[in-house]
Amino acid sequence: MNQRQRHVKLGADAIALVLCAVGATLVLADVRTPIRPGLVAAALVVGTGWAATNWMDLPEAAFAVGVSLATGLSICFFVALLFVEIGWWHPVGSAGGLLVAAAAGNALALVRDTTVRGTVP
Amino acid sequence: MRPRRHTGRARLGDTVAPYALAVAGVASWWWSLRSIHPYRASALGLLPQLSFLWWLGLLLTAGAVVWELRRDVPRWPGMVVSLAALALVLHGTLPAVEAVPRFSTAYSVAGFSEYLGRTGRALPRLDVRMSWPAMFAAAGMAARAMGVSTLWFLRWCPLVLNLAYLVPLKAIANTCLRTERARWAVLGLFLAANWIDQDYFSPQGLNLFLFLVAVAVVIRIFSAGGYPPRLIAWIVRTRQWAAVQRAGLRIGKLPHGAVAGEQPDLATTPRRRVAMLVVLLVVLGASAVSHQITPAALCLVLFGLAVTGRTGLRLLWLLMACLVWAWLSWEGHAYWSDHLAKVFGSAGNVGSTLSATVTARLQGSTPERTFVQGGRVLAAAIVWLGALGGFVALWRRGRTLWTMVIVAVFPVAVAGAVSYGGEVALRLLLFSLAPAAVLIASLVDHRVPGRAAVTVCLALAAALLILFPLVRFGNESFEAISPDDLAAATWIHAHVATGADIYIANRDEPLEYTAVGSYRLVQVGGLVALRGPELTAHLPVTHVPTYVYLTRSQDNYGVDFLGYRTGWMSDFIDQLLKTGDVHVVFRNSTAIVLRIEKHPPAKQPRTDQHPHAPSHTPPAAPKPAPKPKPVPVPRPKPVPIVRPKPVPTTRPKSTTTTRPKSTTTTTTTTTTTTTTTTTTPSTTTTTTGSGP
Repeated sequence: MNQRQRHVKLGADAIALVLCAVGATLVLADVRTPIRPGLVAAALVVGTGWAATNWMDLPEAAFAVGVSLATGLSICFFVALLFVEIGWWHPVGSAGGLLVAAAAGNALALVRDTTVRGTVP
Repeated sequence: MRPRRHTGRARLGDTVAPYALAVAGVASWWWSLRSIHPYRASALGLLPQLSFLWWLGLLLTAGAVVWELRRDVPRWPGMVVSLAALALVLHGTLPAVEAVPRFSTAYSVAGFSEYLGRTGRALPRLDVRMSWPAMFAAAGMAARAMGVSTLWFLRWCPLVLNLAYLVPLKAIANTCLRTERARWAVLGLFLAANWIDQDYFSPQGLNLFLFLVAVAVVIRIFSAGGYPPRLIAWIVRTRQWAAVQRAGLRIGKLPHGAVAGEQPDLATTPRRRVAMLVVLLVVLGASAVSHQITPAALCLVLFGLAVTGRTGLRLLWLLMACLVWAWLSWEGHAYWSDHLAKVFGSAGNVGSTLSATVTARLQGSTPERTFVQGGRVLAAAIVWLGALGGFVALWRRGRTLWTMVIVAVFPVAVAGAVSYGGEVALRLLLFSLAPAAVLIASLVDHRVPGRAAVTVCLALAAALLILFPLVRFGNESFEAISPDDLAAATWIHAHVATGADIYIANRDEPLEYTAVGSYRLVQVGGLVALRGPELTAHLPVTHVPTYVYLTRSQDNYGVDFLGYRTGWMSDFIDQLLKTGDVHVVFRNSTAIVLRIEKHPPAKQPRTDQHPHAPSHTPPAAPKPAPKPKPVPVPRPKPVPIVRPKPVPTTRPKSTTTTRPKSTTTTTTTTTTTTTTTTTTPSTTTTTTGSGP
């Protein structure tokens, strides 16, 4: 991965972190705003997927984005299905918890990419 | 296409032209939307309403894509902008002109999601699709977290999904094709070829995305250089095989002839391969718990790739098969244990299932419908013939893309297991679109593509683009749900008590967008043909509140698909009102709700037999029989009768925010509690699991 790709990845980490953090805040604090639906939907799919796959350092953009989106979608499927099957259905809390976990994952990725690899822009 | 030399102003023009064409195309398209009125669509759909400006928009955006593709290495920003503009014109027209989401099935999906989001429980005995609840549960969870109705997902979903499909498709094209030009051309071809209308908010729409990602991972990370399976290895060592090889049949290279584009990605590390395997398993698992057909198609594709030595994951298909079977046995058994013949009745009949589904679709009730259906067959033929042409062209150049052929062809075997409600042919076409687009684009997969190849590729793309409005917008006469259709459904949910019977003409209505399972839906069937006293006699006796819900979309579906004469619905309404047992309770410009109040005739006491006597007992001797006690008839709780009100003429505002008053919190399947005694043999109850 060259320097430009690392910068792009760092930017993606930061965007995903912000997306998940803001999304979790909107959901858990029940903030009513017109941007909430789109932002939370994007955070659930894009943010969660990126948190799960960013550490793989997939080189090609289309491949990395596709894998990330599919993983995010799949995680949402599994989380929702899990709570349906165990009969503990709290959709807002579940989604908020998922976003908090994804934000933590993205924060870890951001820290790792900036410190361990020494790619501070 | 020859490399061009660019200098000075020409170079600037060449740089800006794709963006300018894309912006001009979108502007023209946007301006053209004023002339499109989806709720006045004819049997040809929106085609007669498309103005010159719409076609100009299509031409300009397609021109932007082609212009950028003239470069040896197209710039990614130019391609992204021009492809997004093309997608907007092709797949954004319907969402842009329709005031509320279209397609009754999408409303059902929204209803399932709303129910799961509200209760956290699935209703597998109500509808087979609820046996694969992952997508509905996720949508319900997301909608609650987002603070919106599940209808929020519906409107722009086709455009979003089509753009999403392009991402894994680009990854597949990057793996299979050599030149950037061909890799980007795949995306334009896919957009033009995807008329199939399975990209609405649905499990299959999302699962196609998962399917493409899984294929991309398998052929990119876990591809194999080609190795002969044992039997083939033994055959290859024989003299006869050497003779066959000498005969020059390049088909012999299938099992062990992978060329660049089908060979493993050498840049991967064991760590990355393990990680990607985990991701792949997650994606496959998500597919297995959210849809019926896609996991089976994936299993077949993985099997095909393993058998032909195109993937190192030789047993992944078996794991997928186990996943499918496990879910079917655990969650899906509620439905298929009761409907085994319906689900697997057509097992083994690949040819007959395909021909039956295609033939049924070709039989249009009017010349216009036949024309639309013929256009669809032609579009499918163009895609498949183009793919075949691309494969032959590659072959002649000494290359093969068996991987894409396998991805396109192997899902056909799904038709050997299920008919999928007569839609299996469409689904198979859907699975084959992406690999077919790759094969068509391989025509221009040269550093300097030949003039003939470019001409053929452009001609195929032009034919698909010209056919697109006919084949994609051809169902809008009945698939468009008008705001007033939805307003009537909202009125029913707000005013009709749970457990009521709702008579409908056909399933082309949005009633189940919320409170799924609250009502017993009955199709009127043969009642439509009855008149006067005959209709009065066959009207159902109403032990529970009984309503009739008729809409514009049902009317058009009857004319276009069921072969009813024009005006059949207004005649039917007149006949219903003449019976005296039916009253209008709600009406707007496109929908009407009627209430049937037909009381049972007074009961005559039976004197010939004791009510509890066994039925096979011969008639008793002529002696005075004891007077039987009157049998208590269970009557439902009285529901206030809603008298006809002044007809509202105002159109509802944004229906995406109109949430009906929840009439129940304990929605149960009403199939076990019905007490309606209908005397019409041809009516059809639809609350029990309808086919997929």
